Parts: sequence; structure tokens; C-alpha cells
Amino acid sequence: MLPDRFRELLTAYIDGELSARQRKGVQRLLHRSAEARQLLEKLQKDSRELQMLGTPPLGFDVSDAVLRQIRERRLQPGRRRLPPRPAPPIPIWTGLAVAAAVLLVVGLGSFAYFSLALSRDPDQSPVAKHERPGTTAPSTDKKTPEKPNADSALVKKDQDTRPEEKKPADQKPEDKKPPEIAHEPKDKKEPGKEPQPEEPGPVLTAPNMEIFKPEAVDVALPVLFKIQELDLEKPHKQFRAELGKDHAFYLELICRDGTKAFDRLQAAFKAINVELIVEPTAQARRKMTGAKTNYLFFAEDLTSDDLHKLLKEVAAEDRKAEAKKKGDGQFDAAASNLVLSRMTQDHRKKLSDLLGIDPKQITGSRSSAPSGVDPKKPLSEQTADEIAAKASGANKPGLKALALPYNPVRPKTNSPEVKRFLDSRKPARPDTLQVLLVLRGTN
Amino acid sequence: LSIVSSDDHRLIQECLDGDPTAFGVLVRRHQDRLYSTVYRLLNNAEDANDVVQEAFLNAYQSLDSFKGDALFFTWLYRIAVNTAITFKRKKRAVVSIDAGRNGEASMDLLDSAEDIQPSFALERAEQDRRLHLALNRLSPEHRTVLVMKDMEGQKYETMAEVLGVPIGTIRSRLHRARLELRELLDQEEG
Repeated sequence: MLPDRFRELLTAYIDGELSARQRKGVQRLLHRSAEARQLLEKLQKDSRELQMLGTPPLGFDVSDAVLRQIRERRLQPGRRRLPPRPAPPIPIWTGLAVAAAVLLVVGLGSFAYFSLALSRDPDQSPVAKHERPGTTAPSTDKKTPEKPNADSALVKKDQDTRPEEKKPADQKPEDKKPPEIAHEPKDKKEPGKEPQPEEPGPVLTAPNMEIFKPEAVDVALPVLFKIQELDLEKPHKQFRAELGKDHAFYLELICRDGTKAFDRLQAAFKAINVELIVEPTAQARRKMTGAKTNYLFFAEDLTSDDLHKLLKEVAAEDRKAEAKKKGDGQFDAAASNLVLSRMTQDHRKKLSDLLGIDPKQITGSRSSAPSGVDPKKPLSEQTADEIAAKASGANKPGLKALALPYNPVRPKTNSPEVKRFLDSRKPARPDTLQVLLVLRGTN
Repeated sequence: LSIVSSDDHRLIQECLDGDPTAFGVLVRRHQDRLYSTVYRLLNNAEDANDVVQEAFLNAYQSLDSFKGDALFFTWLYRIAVNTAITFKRKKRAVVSIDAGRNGEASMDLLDSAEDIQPSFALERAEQDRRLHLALNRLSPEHRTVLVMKDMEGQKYETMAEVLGVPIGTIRSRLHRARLELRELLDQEEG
């Protein structure tokens, strides 16, 4: 194998960053080493292919978004230092050295603490303080009488020789004895006397040990479903149970081609009596042949029934398409294709960026009015149609959803369609859901 | 990095004098090139868009530190590259945790969507896919030097200036990056 310095010369040779002398050296190396020639050839091929990698154009203007953020965040030019360059990654040996140092400190600290604790006057020892009256410290070895601890003796000696430490006046010479008395074996057998069961001695431990109390924590994890099985009893129950846990959800619907699957969603929204407003960039992407696009749908004021029905309709539309033309189905029946999770602040932030509004406007105010009643209007103003619709369990009239392109392009925040959707928003009815659904193509 | 315009300096001065719309002109002027670089570093249109915007905002807030002794684009380029490296490091950490937890790659891989050009030869597309996959597995530092050298044709000297490291470091990083990329491609091919 080529030595590393030769290989480094080869990579610099590819970059054209060698001196004339180094270049000659590399050429000599290439002349005599087949391995060097082979490696150079491969590295040059990689470099050429990297040069040929394409980059999609930006395709839209970010200046509006930048200026909007400058306004919203009230940024000022030239009021901040540049962010520091990223620090170089910390080498592995630093971590090992720190770990070794911590171990050493903990080890020495423990040794010093216990040496001191065992050699100190029993009354002052933190262990003795926790003993019950009338008991003595247990021996570490009950079979053999323990010899005076050399380390303890050293510490004791050291304490004795410290001039600045005053000893109590009434301290007797025998008090100076190291605490090995406490280590005398208790079970010395006396002739003719049965050994008595030993009373449990004090346990050597830290003065205050916290009691670990395990608690149940509610973690909101995404749940997977198969959209084709949502009408089966068990998945249906689980789906409804998940929807009962919150009022705002983020769904990912995995499909083969986002643009083809879009039609299924559009038909499903129509089936549940929700008008789908399609943003112009999304509309344009739908017409582009071969353009891979993911879409985002935002709907509010849907009941969990509506959402369940919407997804069932999507599955039904997909089955119809597959029956009509084999291979046209967009949702893989063999795999989980629906990810349901609760809507997070990040989701709201992303949506508000796409809509060009403040994230607080996404959360909105949830009405305390009864289901289907617009709190801004007196009941008498509501039309007979609305009342009839409520009575029949259908959606309140005028319910709208918005479709946006999600990836790789961004919507136009100032489009009339987005504005129309935002203007149509009303306080949500109680027990209704806010739904953010991403249609994500995998092909 | 050869874009030069005295107009840039005038627009910068207008921004500093309190006219943010002048900054809009600067953004429009440089956004495509900057996006192209950042996209190459991140291989994700959505992330690249976010990072480009963040880089412009960083630049706006630091506008008075632009001394005018370098080209404005070079200065912007440095901010964008460093913002992208930081972003990539953070994201890499998150992806690693997710991958470790799930035992599989993160869903985020789906986000590497880009327009499919029907005219692309299948072989070329497959080669690009393998190359992208291998690039994605490199560390942000290694990916950055390869992009800057091979895809953007930068000199070691410029790369050292942009990344704030000695030329020797650039050389050894590139060396390790090329060998690592080759190893990854060998694994794919094998």
C-alpha cells in the first residue's frame, strides 16, 4: 500500500497545487507504481464527476422573505458582530483525557474522604453520626482481627502533629487510639456459650441518599397507520384515540408521487364538503411533467370524524385509480404510509413562514361556543342552510383548506389564494382539529 | 468569486444609512450563486433556502464589519459557507440520534427531493445518486472542501481564507476527504 505522504501528494496533484519539484516527484512515482496510477485514475474520476453534479436553480426570489424577516425581527444593519467561524471539531483524545482526569479526581477524592472518615474520632465520623446509639461499626472482615489500618494511622499521626489543631482539654490518651477498636470481631467464641445472632450493624453509606421515585411520563410519539386500513375496527379505534389527545395534528402521508396523489386529496376534501384552495405555485407544479413535488395541506375546524372520513376517501380514491389502471395507486398497501403526530411549535413556525404570518396566528383563539356556532354572529343571523347542515352532521358551510407546495419550492405568501384562505379563517369550534398534512412522494 | 461591483458598495452604504430596500437589491443580485453553493453543501433545497436566508440576515446585521477590502460576494460567501457548516453539524447530530434510535436512516432523507429531469440518462442519474449518498455521509468539513475545490474550483488559498484555517489543513482535509469519498463509493460499487 502506498505510504500516506505519497497519497497526499497525489490528491494535491489532482488539485494542481504542487510545486514544480513536487510535480516531477509525483510523475516519477506514477511511472514506477501501478498502484499510484490506479489510485490517481480513480480520484480524478471522482473529481470529474463531482464537477458534473448539477445544482437546481433557486427558482424564486428570497429577497421578499429576507426583508420581511428584517422587518418582523426588527433587525438593524451592522449592529452585530459576525458569528464566529465554526470551531474545529474536538479531537477524540481530548474526551479520553477529560474522562481520565475526572476518574482520577473522583478516585482520589473518595480515597481521601474514606481514609479521613475511618481514621477520625468515631464521634466525629459521618458514619458514626448515623449509627444507632449503642452500636459499633461493623468489621469488614469478621474472621480475622483487623490490624491497625496503615493509612488511618498515617492520617491520625498527621493530625496529631498539626500544631494549629487544638485538642479538647478533657480528651484522654486512649481517645487518641485509632478506631480499630470498632473493628474488633464481634463473634469471638467463648467456651460453653452459643453464639448469639448478630444484630444488624449500621451500613456504611452516604449521609443522605435520595430515594428514586419512578414516574410515568407522557411522551407524544408519532403513530403509524396504513391509510387503507383506517376503516378496520382496531386501527380506527387507535386513530380516534390518538385524535382525542390533542386538537392540532401533523400528518405525513407517504405516497409514490406527490403530484398524482394530490388529486386523491382534492377529491377527498370535496367529499367532506371542504373547499380546497390551491396556491398558484402548487398549481404550476402540478402541471409540470416529471417535477417531483411534495405538498402541504392546512385545514382547521375539522372534527375527528371529518379527518377520518377524509383519509378514508383518499384511500377509496386510490383504490379506484388502481382498479382503473394497474400501478396507478399512490399508497403502498403493504407498508405504513400515514404518520400521525401532535403539532409542535416547529410545525407552526414552518407553516407561519410559508403563509407569511406570525406563528401566534396559527394557534389562534379556540372558541368556547357550542359546536358549529359562530360566536361573532347572533343565532338569528345564521341561515337555515347552516342549521340544516349542522342537524345533518355535515360541515359548516364555507369551510376551506389550503394546499401549498412544500418541497422543493416555496409558495408565494402574498398570493390572492393565500390571502383568501387567511381572510376566511374563523374561530374554531370546540372539539375540532387543526390539521397540517404533508403529502410526501418517495419516487 | 469574481463578481465585483462598485454598485454593491453604494447599496451597502444605503443600507447602513437606514434603507433596507437597498439590501433587497443586494439579495436579488447574489442569491442565485449563494444558493447554488449552499445547495451543494447541504443537498436539500429546503434547507439550502433556509440557510441562504439566514446567511443574508447574518450579513445584514454585520454589514458594518464589511471593510470593502474584499469583494462583497466573497464576504457573503464566507458567511454562507460557515452558516451551512454549522447547520449541517447540528442536523447531523439530530440525524445520528434519530438513526440510532430507530435503527434506520431518518425520514429526512426524503427531503432531498429535487426536480427529476426526464432527459437524464438513467446511468448518469444513478451515478449522481451514489455520489450524493457518499457526499452526505462525509463530515461537514470534508464535504465543504470537496465542494469548494471540485464543484466551485476554489484555490487552496481562498478556501483557507474562507474557512479560517491554514493552507496545510486544507490540503490534508482534501486528501482525507478524497480518500474517504473513494472508500464510500467503493463500498457502494462493491
